Amino acid sequence: MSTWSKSNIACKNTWIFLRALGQLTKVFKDSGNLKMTDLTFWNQTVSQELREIAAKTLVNQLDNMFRLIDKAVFEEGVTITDALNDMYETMINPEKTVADLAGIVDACYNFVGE
Amino acid sequence: MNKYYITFFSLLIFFLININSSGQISFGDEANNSLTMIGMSPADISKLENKTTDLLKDLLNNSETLNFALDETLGRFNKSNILKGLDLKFNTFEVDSVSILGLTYSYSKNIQTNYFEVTEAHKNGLDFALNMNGIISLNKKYNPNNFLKSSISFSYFNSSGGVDKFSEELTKEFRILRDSIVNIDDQDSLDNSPLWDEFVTKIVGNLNLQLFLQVGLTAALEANQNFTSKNYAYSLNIGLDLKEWNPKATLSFLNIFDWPFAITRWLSGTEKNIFPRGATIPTVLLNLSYVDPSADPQRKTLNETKGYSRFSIESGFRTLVCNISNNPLYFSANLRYFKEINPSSQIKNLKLHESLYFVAALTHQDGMFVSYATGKLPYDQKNDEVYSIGFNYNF
Repeated sequence: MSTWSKSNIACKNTWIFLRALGQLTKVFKDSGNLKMTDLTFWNQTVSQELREIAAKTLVNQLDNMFRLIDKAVFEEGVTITDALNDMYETMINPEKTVADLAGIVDACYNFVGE
Repeated sequence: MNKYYITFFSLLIFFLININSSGQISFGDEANNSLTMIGMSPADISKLENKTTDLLKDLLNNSETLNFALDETLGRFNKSNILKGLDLKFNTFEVDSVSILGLTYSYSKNIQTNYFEVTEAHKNGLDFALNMNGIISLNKKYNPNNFLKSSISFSYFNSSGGVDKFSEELTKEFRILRDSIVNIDDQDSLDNSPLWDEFVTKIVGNLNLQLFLQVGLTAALEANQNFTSKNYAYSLNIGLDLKEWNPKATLSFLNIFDWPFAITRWLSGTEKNIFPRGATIPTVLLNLSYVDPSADPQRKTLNETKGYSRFSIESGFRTLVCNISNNPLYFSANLRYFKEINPSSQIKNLKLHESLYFVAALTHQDGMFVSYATGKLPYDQKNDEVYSIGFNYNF
């Protein structure tokens, strides 16, 4: 699992945006270990195709929030396809955690203050 | 369970007991001598052997034990790329009052995705993916959802909306609020924090409606568990996901599916007011398929092997019911409907032309779940009512 720290802006943004979107309810310190299956979008009763659509919607919205709310830009050499693909691959993997997702976000986006 | 305990008990069992071909346990000489020394009669030892046999059989038929074994075994291999996206879990199902153990599997691999156009909150692109999912029952006569599907798909997708443009001033306010809220370590303090309320008003209040649309072509193999009945289906599908991320927007209030749960969240004290969530508007998938039933023995028997068109719709919904001990309890539901277009009178009379399936589940974050399913999928012989209870493990 990736490092989950209050001093890391990618972790802070991943957590607060997921909470703003109603995907998790816990405080920051208890959220890093949450698995993708613990987030609201992960409906275990639906077909895989339907769950993937929900994951794609959420990934696109997270990207909107990183770029438009916190004015993040992509790290050098990272394209939007790379960033969204990596986030999507993480989100549809039931073993991945919120901290893992934040690790991907950290690798793909450059936030002000980093 | 600690691995040292497992090793100790495994060694103990290996050296002290024998298991015959019918699964009956008998203690070895060492164990027999030890038990006799502590005063047990041969009859008591025999009873103990029977009890131990029953205990082991119960353990081996328990979904929790099997999930633990799967976790231990597959956990070592799941770092490889090919196994990423593989999800396996054992469940116990109740079908017609019979308790059956089953293995649910799903595998998803995005082979290639490309984004073409990105302007602020608008993006579109193409996607090429592989999917497999289904349930394998250990007693194939009683598979509750006898429908295995493997598919390859090629899709165009478009995402628009979700966030209004933020001014530099608002971005600065966001960063100040974020840095304060992230330091609140107590759950009740965060849930009742005026800072969080301010964040919701200023930041979440500037989110808006997002529309995700996907149009794709899919080639799929659909089969029952032992592949005695199978179809090849080629389909045009449309996926639609509408999310109103602003809880105070009109569309959020119009999400009637979330109203009962907005009330349970309020009654349980999870939320301060009754706020239905626009973020839980059901996701919908429509399919228009051409099905080749030439490998379907049921259709062969009926001399109905000509290809046919089939319409299907699937919808899924998941929302928070309440928080119990600071952990969320979720309600999930799924509805699937299949209908053959212009079926023959024979197919219609046998009611093979349509099927409806519904499942609802309550899941708690500690892994406990309760679910109820009714109806049938295209290869089920009859309508089932299935109750399921257990623990979830993901690898």
